[in-house]
Amino acid sequence: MTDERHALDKLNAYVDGELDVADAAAVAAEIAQSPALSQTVASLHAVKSAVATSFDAAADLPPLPAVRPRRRLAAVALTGAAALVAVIALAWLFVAGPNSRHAVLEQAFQTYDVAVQGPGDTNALDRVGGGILVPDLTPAGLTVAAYHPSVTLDGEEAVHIGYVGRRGCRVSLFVRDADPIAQPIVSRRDADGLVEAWRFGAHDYLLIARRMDQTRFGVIADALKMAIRDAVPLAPPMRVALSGARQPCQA
Amino acid sequence: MLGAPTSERFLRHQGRLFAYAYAVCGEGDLAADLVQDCAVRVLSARKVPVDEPAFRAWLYKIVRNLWLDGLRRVRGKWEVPFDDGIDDEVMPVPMETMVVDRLAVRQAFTKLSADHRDVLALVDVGGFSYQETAVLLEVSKGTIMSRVSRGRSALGRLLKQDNVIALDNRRERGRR
Repeated sequence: MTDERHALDKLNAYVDGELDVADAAAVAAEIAQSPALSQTVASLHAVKSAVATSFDAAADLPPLPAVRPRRRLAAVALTGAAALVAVIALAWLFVAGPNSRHAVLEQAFQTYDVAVQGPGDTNALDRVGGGILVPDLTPAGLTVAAYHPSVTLDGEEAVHIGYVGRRGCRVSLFVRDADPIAQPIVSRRDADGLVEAWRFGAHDYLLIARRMDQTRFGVIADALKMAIRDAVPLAPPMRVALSGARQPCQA
Repeated sequence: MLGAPTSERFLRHQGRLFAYAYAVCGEGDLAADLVQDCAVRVLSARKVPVDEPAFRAWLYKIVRNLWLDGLRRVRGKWEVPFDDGIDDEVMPVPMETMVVDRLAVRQAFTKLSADHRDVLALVDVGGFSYQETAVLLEVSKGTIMSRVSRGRSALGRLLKQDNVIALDNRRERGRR
């Protein structure tokens, strides 16, 4: 029982991205070799995603109350009305404007949908500029088929790298400058698409796919995180995990 | 523009903060009230954390404390004891890929123990790391790891019991 609990704790930590590189690679390799483990991880992802998305507000939230910092009450007496107007305006902009989190995803999926049709651009990798790390996903059967040094996601410039497999599987990786106060994108795995978002250093990373097996997507996401974090070729266990993650994509 | 930077910072977190409040308290209206009360405290605070992660953690802590304060006043209304028997068995998580409707998740969430709700709301809804959650709840990281695992298993079993639609079935219905 204790071993089972420990193993389950570790699987959950894997799903949450809490394991260190070596442990994550080892777990990913085990998952790739075990359909039962793979299903368990997919279920944990499903529960996590369901929780992450089930409590969003159904309607607009009310504007912020007109409150000012206590120590500044006297100073703002004359400008109180202006501050109130500003607060309400900001609130209006927030609730009435596009949800930036969704706008990023919508635009990312639009790019994904049109960027790589068919076999892709076989010379894409040659055009990648200096300083951009393009992780190798060939063990997973995916090669770089599209490279766009400047796409726009919710008004921010991003780099897009599209990977494609021989049987039509596709993933897109977006890299953009980190915005420390932007609302974070929630990773999810559902019928609308697969999304993994993370931050490393000065950049935000977004990996998306449609109709890909959840476990395969998860292993690919972990491989990318490790490759980007370590900036070195993937460790052998991770390559083994990737090579085992060849589940077919839905048409 | 006095106060505007803080209100702007708050607004960027407001959506997830509401979702967190909704997850822990189980009522949308109450969650909106908690977020509004939090906004009052934040906007009237003399000192606001400058560091963004600290600011974010501060917001969630305020909402959590507001919720706990309210809970103490109406003790027992929502509280489910930690050792509630839901998670005695290890791991029969759902074994098929599934799509879970939001209502089912919300209902199942209220049946979790308070500790499990607390941790899952911070990790899955708030997006906090285990370490950040440990600091927020003033427990060890190992405790967080264990509670996440048990909470997620318990939730998986509750969702498995009802209101779960298998992905393939849903697609079949969509084709008709």
